[in-house]
Amino acid sequence: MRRAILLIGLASACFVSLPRYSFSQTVSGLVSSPTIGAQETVSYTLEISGTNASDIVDPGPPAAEGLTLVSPIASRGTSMSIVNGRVSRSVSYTWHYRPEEEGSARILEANVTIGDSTFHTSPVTVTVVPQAQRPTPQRRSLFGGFSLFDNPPDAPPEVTEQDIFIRATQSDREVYLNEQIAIDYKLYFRPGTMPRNSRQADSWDAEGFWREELDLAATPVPSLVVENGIRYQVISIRRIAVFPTRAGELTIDPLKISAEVQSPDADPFNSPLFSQRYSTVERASPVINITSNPLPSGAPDEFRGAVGQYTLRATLSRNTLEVGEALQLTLVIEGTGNIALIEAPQPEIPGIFEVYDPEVSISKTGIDALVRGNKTFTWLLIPRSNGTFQIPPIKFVYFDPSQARYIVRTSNLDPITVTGTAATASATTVTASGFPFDDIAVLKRDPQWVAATHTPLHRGTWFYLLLLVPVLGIGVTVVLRRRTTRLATDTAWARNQRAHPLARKHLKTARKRLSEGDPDAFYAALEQSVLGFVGNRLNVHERGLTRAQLADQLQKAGIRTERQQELIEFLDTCDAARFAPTPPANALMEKHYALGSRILSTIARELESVIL
Amino acid sequence: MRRGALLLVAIAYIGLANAQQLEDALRLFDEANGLVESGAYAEAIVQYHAVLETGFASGALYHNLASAYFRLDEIGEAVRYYERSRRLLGNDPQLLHNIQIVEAHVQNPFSELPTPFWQAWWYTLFSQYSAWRFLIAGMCLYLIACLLYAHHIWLQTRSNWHRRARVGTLGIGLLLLLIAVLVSGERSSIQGAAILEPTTLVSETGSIDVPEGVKVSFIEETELGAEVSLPNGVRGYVDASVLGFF
Repeated sequence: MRRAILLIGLASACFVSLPRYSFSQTVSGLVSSPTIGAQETVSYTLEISGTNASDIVDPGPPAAEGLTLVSPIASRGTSMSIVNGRVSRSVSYTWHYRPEEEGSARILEANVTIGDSTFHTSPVTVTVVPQAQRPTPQRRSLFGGFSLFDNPPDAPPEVTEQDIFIRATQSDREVYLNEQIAIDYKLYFRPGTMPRNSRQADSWDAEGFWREELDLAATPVPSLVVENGIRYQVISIRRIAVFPTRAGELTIDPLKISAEVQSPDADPFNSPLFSQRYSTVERASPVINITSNPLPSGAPDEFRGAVGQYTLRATLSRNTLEVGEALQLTLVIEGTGNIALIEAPQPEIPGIFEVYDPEVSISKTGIDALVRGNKTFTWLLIPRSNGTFQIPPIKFVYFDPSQARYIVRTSNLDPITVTGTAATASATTVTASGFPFDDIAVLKRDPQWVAATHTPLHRGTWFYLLLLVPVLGIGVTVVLRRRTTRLATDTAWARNQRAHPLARKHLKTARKRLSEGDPDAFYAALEQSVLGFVGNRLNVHERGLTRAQLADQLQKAGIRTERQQELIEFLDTCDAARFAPTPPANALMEKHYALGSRILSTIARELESVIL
Repeated sequence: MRRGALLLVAIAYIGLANAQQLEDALRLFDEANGLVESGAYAEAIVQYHAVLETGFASGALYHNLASAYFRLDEIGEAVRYYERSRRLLGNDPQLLHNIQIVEAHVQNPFSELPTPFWQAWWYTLFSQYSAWRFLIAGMCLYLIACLLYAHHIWLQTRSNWHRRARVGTLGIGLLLLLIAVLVSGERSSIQGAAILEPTTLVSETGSIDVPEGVKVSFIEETELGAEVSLPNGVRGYVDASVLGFF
């Protein structure tokens, strides 16, 4: 009765946990166990589903290497299942093979003809081990069950690496820096292992990568696959997108999990009270090696490291507004790649706008095995003056690995028209000094003009002249002072200094007297001019000099004799004219005036040359 | 006599031409201010530069020019012209307020080396008083000293007080003239430069990003570019075209 209940239960469980069989035609080659003892046989079942049995041409046993076919006659079986109201049938053919020797053996591909089509299975590898390494068959009672009074059952068969393992699939092995790689960790387990309480057994790291966890189905449904002749159920246990953050050879740690499993070969009745016997196993995925290549050179200036495929959309919340009102500039970058690390493009917003730091929002999905989504940047702009303003086209540059080139996305914006005038700052928005709080005070109206090009003082000539003039004044003072002192103390020098001016003065007087028609005074002035000049230059008192004394003095001064004679004759002429009873004619006086001037200059020249 | 008349005519002509230029400068300045008030900052900037081309400048002009640049978000140019304005206006409260606002917009990642006390004093001195003031005061004392010397030479005075007065006025006068020369040189020399657009400074230790508006000390022009010193004292080379001298 208990056995019947168990069978019903198992049947129900199988019914419930049946995988979704495809209703298309499938052919699978399955072995009873991937590992057998040297004295055991392995059964090979060719399972054909999705077709009517009548369409199948009975297949022959597949050839084998290292195995001997026990009997070429296949045991044929059919089965039927109903899932969600759909009926599916399958036909199976089973052969038995005996190992020839220990080691690796292969059952080659089987060919099945269904109607007009021929299907092939994949070869299956079977490992033949010494019989001692195989578990001892369970002892059964005569009634096919266990007795409570029997000896304790043996340990259950060991769960092998082939019974449950993790496989990691990656979208690419060689990528560019910051290019996305999707990794899917899948747990393969044989239907009988029934894993439970699985958890990550060790820390997992991907150094040199930015990581993004991808979504997993909340209630994963195992899929059924056949690997090396063994039927496995497969579920994704972790899906992740990684982005290399540096170039070079990078490694991702294996993902380790531990789970409680049953041996797929365990006899469900091999337990007192039919309890299931679980053992804990640990499994690890292979290490993943990634080659990260640096991005090619020639990136535009606006490139900020985004890699993937993106679109750019820029919008303004409004295009017409008043001074002091706010508008929003929204920039949406959407696509596939590392959305989280995309940097905001820098729009060149005219300085008239007060710009606040952008609000950033990210929306990501990873349902289709790659991180997709959008990143939105929203700037709040407040114009502080009126006018029409144009924000230049906004550029976003990214590297597209599929095209291996940099792509520039540009989004144009319509002009913004700002009307109205800025309100005067209220008392609460000005500083204690009366300047706008958190803004500049724009204008100053009192220009105190200076030269735009400033020449420093030390480079201006006028500065040195200005310094020199007082010094020259002091120099002049010194000279004047010395002259004054010498004039007062050195009579000869003083007379010499005065000779020319006095002679000129007397000549001027003579000219005046000539014009007045006063011959006496004229000749007196003329004589005084010449005689006074000679006396001053020779530092002698000219008044009491006789003509001989005068000639003697002139001789001492080195004046030539003919000049002496000429001078004395002139003086005599003057005396004669002064004391003549009849005044000379004006023409004669003119002639004497000219003669006097000539003698004066001649004597002055000769005295000067002699003195020098 | 004739030469004197010609000289007077020439002086009068120069004076009149100068007055005409000054009138033009004032008219353009007022027009530029009007453009700023109407929000036409780009046009105002053109007009302010037209004022400078007349040969005249002023602290207010540089101030307003900087304000217009600030409104157009050209922070580097704003810093440059506010600093030029500071040379002429000194510690004008409105100017200092604006400089504070503009510097808040500069993403300056560099700490500043402490300024030596004597440098601060010197800066206060030449920002408070113009070279002209020192020149006039110094020249007056220098003239008085020269007159006293001339008086001493002419009259041969032997008074101690006369001697002290001569030496004192001459010493102070020459000192003031020296300060005038230094202040004047300071005004006309390059004080520094503002970074007009984000650039990279190449130093011995590596490359450093220098944002717009940072004030640097200009050292010299070399084959590698303009050698400058950052506020934190790090020296390096930048492209000379990104420097706005003030």
